[in-house]
Amino acid sequence: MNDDRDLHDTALDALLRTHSAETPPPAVDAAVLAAAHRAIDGEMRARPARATQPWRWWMPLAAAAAIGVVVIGILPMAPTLVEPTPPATSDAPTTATAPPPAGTQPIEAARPDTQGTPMARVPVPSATDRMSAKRDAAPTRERAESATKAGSTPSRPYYQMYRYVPPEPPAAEQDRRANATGAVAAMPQAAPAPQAIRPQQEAAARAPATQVPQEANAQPPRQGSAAALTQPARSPEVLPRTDAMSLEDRQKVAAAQPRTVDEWFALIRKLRSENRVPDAIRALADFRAAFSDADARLPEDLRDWAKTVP
Amino acid sequence: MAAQNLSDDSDESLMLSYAQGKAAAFDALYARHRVGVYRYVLRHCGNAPVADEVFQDVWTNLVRTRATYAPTSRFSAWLYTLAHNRLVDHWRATGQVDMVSIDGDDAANDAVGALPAARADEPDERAANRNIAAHLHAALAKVPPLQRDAFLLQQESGMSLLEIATLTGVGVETVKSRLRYAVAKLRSELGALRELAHR
Repeated sequence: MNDDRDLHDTALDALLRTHSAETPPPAVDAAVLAAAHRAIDGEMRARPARATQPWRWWMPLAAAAAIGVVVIGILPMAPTLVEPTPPATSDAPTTATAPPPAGTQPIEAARPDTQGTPMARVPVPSATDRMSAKRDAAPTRERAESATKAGSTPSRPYYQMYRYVPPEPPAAEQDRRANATGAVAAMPQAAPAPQAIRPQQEAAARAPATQVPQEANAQPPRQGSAAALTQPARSPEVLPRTDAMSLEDRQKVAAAQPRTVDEWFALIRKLRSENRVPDAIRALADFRAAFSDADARLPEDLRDWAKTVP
Repeated sequence: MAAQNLSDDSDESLMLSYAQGKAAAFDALYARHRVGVYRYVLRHCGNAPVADEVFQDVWTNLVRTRATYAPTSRFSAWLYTLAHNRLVDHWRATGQVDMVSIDGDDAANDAVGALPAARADEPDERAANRNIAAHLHAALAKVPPLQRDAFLLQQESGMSLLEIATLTGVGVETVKSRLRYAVAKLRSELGALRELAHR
């Protein structure tokens, strides 16, 4: 009796479907849709507001951490500069022939360091340096002795023996006088004049090889001097290699090289006039290394000769 | 293209999309169910202004509770549950009938007099206008609310007996009983119109 057929009446369903035209008023539709969209819009506005809040407490920490990571990660990879040039001191055996500082009397080169002279500040050479000094001292001493016997100058770099000193400006001259009185002992001093070198060299050559290392003859350019301002930069790679010179020694030697074109010309002419062709060739090579347009700068009297030098 | 995709989506996916902030999904849902819900509400209320208010409240409730929607059942069941609950609130507020306490099978004849849309002048109006829709409306109004509710849920929402039973909180057999009473009542009320439609 209670059949599921009683739950449906197809005629009634058709009547209802056919005559059901009720629809919500447009105003109600608009109100409902507006409410629905308004709710979503409000939610969307609230989300960006939360996302764009100003600085949070952890942001400065994050920024600092990022900077720290960058610094720690990049700094070790940065190329290191050329090792700084130590004070103009050396324990190399070449100090046996070191000229005294400019402006001082030549006799100061052999004077023992018992006062507050710049030599008192020479750092104690390390064991390695002392060994290399002993290794290099013997040939130097032998060369000095042989040169003395032969009556010629010992075999040392040409630019150490023939150093051209340009005229100093007035300020530098005042500094030099102050150094001569010992008031400014700490200042680096200029190289001596060529005419003052020879007696010292000969005296140094005769000095015993076990002499206490003295201040290097290769002085850095004086600060404020006109020559220092016009000098081309020198790298250790272009420095002359003499015997078993260390990088430090070569830097010092480079500091004693001629700095200006005229110095180079004067040096090469002098070596040629003394018939020291190998030294002249080396000086020309160094001059070429120091100036990219070296051949173009050569004067006529040296240009033809330079063409013969590879 | 987007509208085409939305029209192909199921009710449940549209509701989830709307809950996630896609307003166009609500438009599609509303277009699908607006007529059915409105008729369900209007045939219960019998009063267009009241039906408009209830209908708008139903959709407003849906918008407000969108975040809590879970597709555990058909969306239409959830939507008509919202409508049913809103109608119950309306009847309680107006004191017209207590749909919660009335058992479906016993008080059918007693509830007829409590129909909100039952008006004494309806036969005169029916005779005057010969409006079939009015006859339908009047016939539905004469059906007891719980029986009418089961009948309208079946007609407008297409819900199964089990879903209607779940929505109304009664057993399936009770729903069947309500439906039988409702159909029998409408047959008796719309006899002539029914034969006309059947032809």
